[in-house]
Amino acid sequence: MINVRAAPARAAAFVKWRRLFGRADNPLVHGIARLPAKVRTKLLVSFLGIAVLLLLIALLGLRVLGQSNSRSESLKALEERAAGYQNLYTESTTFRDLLAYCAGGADVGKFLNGGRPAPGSTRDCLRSIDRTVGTALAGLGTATRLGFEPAADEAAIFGQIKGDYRALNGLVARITASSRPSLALHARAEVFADDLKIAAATLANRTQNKTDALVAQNRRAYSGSRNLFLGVGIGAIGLALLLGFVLSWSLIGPIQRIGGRLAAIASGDFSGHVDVPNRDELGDLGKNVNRMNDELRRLYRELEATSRHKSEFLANMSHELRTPLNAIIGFSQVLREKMFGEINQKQQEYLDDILSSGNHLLSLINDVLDLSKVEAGQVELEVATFSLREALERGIVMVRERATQNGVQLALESDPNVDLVEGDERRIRQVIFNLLSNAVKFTPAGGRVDVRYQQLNGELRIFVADTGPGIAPEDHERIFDEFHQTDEGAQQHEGTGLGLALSKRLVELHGGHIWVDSELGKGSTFVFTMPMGSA
Amino acid sequence: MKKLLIGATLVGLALAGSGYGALSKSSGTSVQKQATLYQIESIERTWHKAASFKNLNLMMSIWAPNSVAVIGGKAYTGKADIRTLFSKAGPFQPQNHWLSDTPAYKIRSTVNGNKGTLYFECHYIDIDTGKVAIVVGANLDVQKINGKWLIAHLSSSTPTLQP
Repeated sequence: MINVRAAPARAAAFVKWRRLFGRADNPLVHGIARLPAKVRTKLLVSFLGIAVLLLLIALLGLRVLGQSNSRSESLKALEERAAGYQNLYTESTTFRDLLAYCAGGADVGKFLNGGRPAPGSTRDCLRSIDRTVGTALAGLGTATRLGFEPAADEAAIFGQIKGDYRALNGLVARITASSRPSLALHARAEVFADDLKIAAATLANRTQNKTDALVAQNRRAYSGSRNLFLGVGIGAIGLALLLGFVLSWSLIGPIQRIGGRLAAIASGDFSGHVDVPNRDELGDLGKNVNRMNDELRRLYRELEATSRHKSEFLANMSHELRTPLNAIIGFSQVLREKMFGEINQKQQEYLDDILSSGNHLLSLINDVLDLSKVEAGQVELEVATFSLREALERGIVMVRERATQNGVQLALESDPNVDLVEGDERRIRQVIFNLLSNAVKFTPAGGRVDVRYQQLNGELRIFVADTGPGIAPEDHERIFDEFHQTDEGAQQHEGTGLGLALSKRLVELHGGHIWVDSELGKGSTFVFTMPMGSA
Repeated sequence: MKKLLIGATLVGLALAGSGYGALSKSSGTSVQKQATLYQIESIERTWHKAASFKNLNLMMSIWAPNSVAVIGGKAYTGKADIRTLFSKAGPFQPQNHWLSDTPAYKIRSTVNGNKGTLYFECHYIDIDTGKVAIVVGANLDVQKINGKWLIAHLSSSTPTLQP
């Protein structure tokens, strides 16, 4: 039958137990965490506690061993005495039995013979044992030389035994010396032999009882020691486990919470605070993490605002710069085309310089504008299906003239399985053009630039490989930063250091990524990916 | 002074209490020994009852399984051997009308734990003649086995005790 009243009580007890001993956040752990002591002190105290428990167990063990050893020695001494007294008792019994053969005289014979007088005389019987009684007494005499000192409470009885033995010695001397057996002498000898035997039995029994008592005491002591050890051992283990549990969770809990908060900060979440109630180093660490969180949040907001202002400024400035620049380029081209009349050689050279510088400045402004738009989140991709192969071919066409001038071979390896992809064609072509123009620019005469693409591991990879000077490993990441150029790039006095940074942003906007595989002197291969979902 | 008196009274009461406790314990031990000796001496009473009524089974009920009796130039070992001894003994013969008993001054007993000794001298009186037929002595080692005191060893004795 189910006790319905007991069930809620059991549930409440279970909840209480779980609250007390549940993993991390329980009153015990909280209490230890709130102790105003350093972690080192807490660890030291707990280890000292365990050491004290071990010491206690060791002391108990030594005490029990000492007692056991003492009892063993007592038992050995008792057993020696018991054996001596038992031997004395056996010899006295033997001697007494010898006397018993002829004891009682004619009455015993009549008793045994159905009440009728027995054949054979008592004297013959006595004569027959007189020959051996001396030998039996000698055996008894040997037994009386115990080989140890009787205990104080045994001395009096042993003294009586010695007295009885001396009396028996005298009587037996008279019995063996006499030519005529004497029933009276034998009867007196029986009395002394009885006394001696009773005394020997008393000593033997008493010593045996002491031995039995000591064995029983030893058994009880073992049982008590075992229970004590079990109790202390279980208690010590329980206490050590409790200490370990409480102390470890008072440390691990805060560390986990701090770790979680740091992970959130690392992922850009500055919204929360970590709650560490500890009044030790971990408490200080928690407070410092919270301070760091607040400071980072403030800096991040400032940085966001600054970046936004920068982008807005660049966008505005680029627009403001591009308007007059378009006029400069346009009118330069009009003059260059001689639409307003002939120009001399010198004027033509200056116009070419104006046009070239204007175009370079326009390209720079366009890149800055694009980059700032991307950073300001103002670029929206115009995703549509387009032919990747055609985009690559157009990119190659755009750089072919310069490649031919530089003596660089251009090649495209098409993948017949891949053609139409999804993305912003204009932005992808911008990326392709940036990579191709860089490759042509840095590849020396006689070199080559190879373009290929393929599907790999669920994504589309586009490779632009050149046989240029290569890029040092330490520059592999940095070349994708704004305004960063390699030494080679800086020597070319060409480019702005924005092309790769912009390409990286545009590829990432498409959900892909871009990197370079290169070694100095062995050329470079730029790779960017587009997720297959967009292809 | 009052405090001194109260203190002395308390000490006195404590000493009296401890003394009474020791006396009580000693007395208890003595009574226990007397009771055990009474049980041991019951062997003598059973012996004479069995001999007087020629009850061999009753006689054998007071012997231990591996008991020994040394009497009349022979050692009888085991209950079967001893039963044979008594079956031929004078008191158990149908033609003998013997009554047996031990005078109070002819019995001695000791006890030590589960072992003890018992000495008694038996007077067998022939009721047909009214005379003492025989007087024999027995020196016994007794042992408590399964809660009952039994004869483990008998040595025949020459009666010597006088009133």
